[in-house]
Amino acid sequence: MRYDTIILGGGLSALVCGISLQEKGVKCLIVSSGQSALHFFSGSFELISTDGSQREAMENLPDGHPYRKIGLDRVMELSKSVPEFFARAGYALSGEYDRNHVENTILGSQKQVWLTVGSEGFPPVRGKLPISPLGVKMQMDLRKRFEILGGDYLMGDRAVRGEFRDGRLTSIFTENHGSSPFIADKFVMATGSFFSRGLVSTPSGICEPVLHLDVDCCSDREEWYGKGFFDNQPYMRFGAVCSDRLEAVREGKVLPNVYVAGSLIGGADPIKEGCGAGVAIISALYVARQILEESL
Amino acid sequence: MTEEYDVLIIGGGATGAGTARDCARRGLRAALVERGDFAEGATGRNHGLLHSGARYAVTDQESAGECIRENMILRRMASHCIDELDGLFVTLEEDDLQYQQRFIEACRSAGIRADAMDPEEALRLEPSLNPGIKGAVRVPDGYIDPFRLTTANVMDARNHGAVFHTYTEVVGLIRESDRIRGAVVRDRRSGEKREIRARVTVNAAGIWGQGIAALAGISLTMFPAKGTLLVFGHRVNNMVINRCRKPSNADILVPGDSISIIGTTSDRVPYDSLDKVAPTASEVDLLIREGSRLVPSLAETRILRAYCGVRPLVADDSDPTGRSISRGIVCLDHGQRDGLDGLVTITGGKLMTYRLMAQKATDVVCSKLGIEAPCTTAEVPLPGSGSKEGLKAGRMSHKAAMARLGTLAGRIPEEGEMLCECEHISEGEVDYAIRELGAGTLSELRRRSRIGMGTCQGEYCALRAALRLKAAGKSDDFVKKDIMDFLDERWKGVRPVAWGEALREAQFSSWLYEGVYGLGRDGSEKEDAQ
Ligand SMILES: Cc1cc2nc3c(=O)[nH]c(=O)nc-3n(C[C@H](O)[C@H](O)[C@H](O)COP(=O)(O)OP(=O)(O)OC[C@H]3O[C@@H](n4cnc5c(N)ncnc54)[C@H](O)[C@@H]3O)c2cc1C
Ligand SMILES: Cc1cc2nc3c(=O)[nH]c(=O)nc-3n(C[C@H](O)[C@H](O)[C@H](O)COP(=O)(O)OP(=O)(O)OC[C@H]3O[C@@H](n4cnc5c(N)ncnc54)[C@H](O)[C@@H]3O)c2cc1C
Repeated sequence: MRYDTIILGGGLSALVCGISLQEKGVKCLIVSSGQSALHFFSGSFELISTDGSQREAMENLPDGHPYRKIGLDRVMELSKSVPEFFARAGYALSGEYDRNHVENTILGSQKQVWLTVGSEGFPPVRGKLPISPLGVKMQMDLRKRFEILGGDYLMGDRAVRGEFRDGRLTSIFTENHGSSPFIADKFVMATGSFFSRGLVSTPSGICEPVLHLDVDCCSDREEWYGKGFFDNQPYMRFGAVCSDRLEAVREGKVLPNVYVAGSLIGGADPIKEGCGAGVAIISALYVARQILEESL
Repeated sequence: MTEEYDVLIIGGGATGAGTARDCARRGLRAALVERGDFAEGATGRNHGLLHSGARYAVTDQESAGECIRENMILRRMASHCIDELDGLFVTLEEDDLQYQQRFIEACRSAGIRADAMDPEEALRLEPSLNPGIKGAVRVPDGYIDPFRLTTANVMDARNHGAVFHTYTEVVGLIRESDRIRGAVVRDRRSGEKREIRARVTVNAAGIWGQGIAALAGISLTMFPAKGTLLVFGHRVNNMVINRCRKPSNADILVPGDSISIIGTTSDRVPYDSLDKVAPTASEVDLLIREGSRLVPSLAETRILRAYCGVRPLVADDSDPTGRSISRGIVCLDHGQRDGLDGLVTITGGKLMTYRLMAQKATDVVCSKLGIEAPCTTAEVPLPGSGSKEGLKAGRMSHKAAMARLGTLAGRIPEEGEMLCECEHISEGEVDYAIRELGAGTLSELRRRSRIGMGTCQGEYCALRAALRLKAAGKSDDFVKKDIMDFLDERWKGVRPVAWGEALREAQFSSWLYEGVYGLGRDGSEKEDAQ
């Protein structure tokens, strides 16, 4: 089957990217293997943790951070469009796009957050698994919106490999569809970090298992971790290498028709920097914008 | 203010707790001091193998005989701490099958039942085994839970009047001419020092016993031997699996509760590094490599954590060079050995010979005090190990609680929320551990209830358990700090094996506790609560 754009992954980043593209009539397929980070959503998005100016806090981010690649002015500009984007999907977010507000967690700690979807927070005290009903509902609503806009959503299927020609990705194959390829002009990799198996680790190394994209990481396992649980964990920053336009890199070469979005991108520590949802949403919007510009 | 007792025991491992119990049952006024929590030393960091003695049969008949006798006693006296699994000693392709015959003969002469069986039968009994085995011998090995064992001994000792002080460290001994009269202790939480006086002091500080002896000015040379073990994510095997050859690295796989443990390594470590030992990457690699020779599926089984302990081996007094290691139990009356009365050291041995060690130490104490009461610990079951008649369990969690607590499960309510799904631990069982077993932190709860020991490693239930501590009156700040300490402690064990699923879970835990709940993010908790 043939699409304009195929998006791999079914989390926040994939959905935001897919919806943005479908809103402009770009025919998309989302291939999602299942549960995403949204299932553990606290109720609030974070852009960057600070009690002052977000823009200034971003100045202190290390080189190679996804926000720096995208450009800080552009990050702020895209962030301005986020409340509108979610309003169209039926979610009135509270908070200001350019200022954090404080939220109390159920353990009584305080967090600087960006935009709040709901105050129910994360109620994991009872039940089998701590799942966030709010996050699950949001994932379903975003998926519905994507489908209403004309997108195809392949649920519970896993992309397993890609086929390349002349330095471009031409098609991908999935677990359930065996040898029938899914063909597209453009691809977006939004398969997440270790948690979603967008990255996979073995005792001797780390890889991106679908396209074997280049991954930014240290080779010596001893250097992956911080000593204490709450110390900096270098592995958190591991992720796919990409250009400033968020194009993926494979065997040292830029893949001009494959973009990377969300927590698969390397260079960010979403926990220490408080930028998880921010990177997922902003990078998805940025990738969508570039795909739209190119298809004009 | 000084306290005064007949006997003061230093060290809250199995040996110390067992000695406190024996002393108390013989009518002595006993006190025990432990610098941390119960079972924080070697007792909580070993393999949990209830040896049949077979492992030592070829090399050391005396230890082998000691093991099988204690094995049979503990099956009756500590039944709720024991899983009667039986064990197999298997001969791999590269091992010499001739050794098997020697092994069987040595077992039998030590009084250990040892039945040879052909590979097919062994594989039928234990399907996880390497299908290439050449032979197997069945012996009465088992699993012994060190935490339950220690708790039950403490409980019975308390019931007989013994007094326990945890987080209380011996920093000096009270010496009056050529006698020890008790110890100077420091409360590790308040920093306060005080004296505890006693007519006899028992050094049951395990590998740290060398330091206690040094406080008395006498020399006791220990050979710290570090051993590392790996915990696998589910119960891979149902019987203990040993390799039928001279004892070596990574040749025992013990199933316990919901998991299996492979071990161990053995390396001399310097005495001054005791409190800093940690599993290394090369030990982990060796354990996986050797372990999967025994049970091939180990190579693909998820590893939950690595941990290590230090064996309390002692220099043999009879060797003037001080280089050979004593076998078995070492019970020293320092009055006889060093002319310093009022001090007894009990060390060496094994977890599963703790009762006999306690008996030997208590015999010496009693003879010093002129008391003739007989030892009863080989006849009277531990609390929880009595007859189960009349006990019923309906719900899953209550069945699980009965397996853990034995007859004491009657003390926890049947109804109530499930707190840890993977180990079937109910809220009631956690509340019981808080109320009656003195668990005041998550780490103490881990040792008293298995919270955080199983497949989930406390990922979800740590928080739920922490909220029970809060319900029992702990402050918000205490609970936050406690969760952080617990996660930090757990990370020590996960770090050496953090790849694949373990790294995935670690990332998830960080998200949950640091990202979503905001622990450690304002950077204040660490300093706040002490
Ligand atoms: C437990 C948890 C809680 C979090 N909570 C918050 C929060 O409260 N606030 C916040 O700001 N940030 C939070 N984050 C940060 C989070 O990373 C981002 O917010 C964001 O949701 C990441 O989105 P993503 O789409 O990049 O990745 P993910 O949400 O991880 O989604 C990746 C998706 O790709 C799919 N996938 C993977 N491999 C394949 C394949 N081969 N084929 C097909 N599909 C595949 C997965 O099934 C998954 O659906 C949390 C993260 C985690 C892990
Ligand atoms: C890797 C390994 C595997 C093993 N496997 C097995 C096995 O499978 N089966 C078996 O039977 N045995 C096994 N053992 C042996 C067994 O663990 C020990 O022999 C036994 O636990 C020793 O108990 P203990 O009470 O004498 O010492 P410990 O448990 O070490 O107790 C000593 C206590 O003294 C305390 N202490 C130290 N200094 C002070 C002080 N100054 N003041 C107050 N308290 C102090 C410590 O905190 C500690 O809690 C193994 C040991 C290791 C290391």
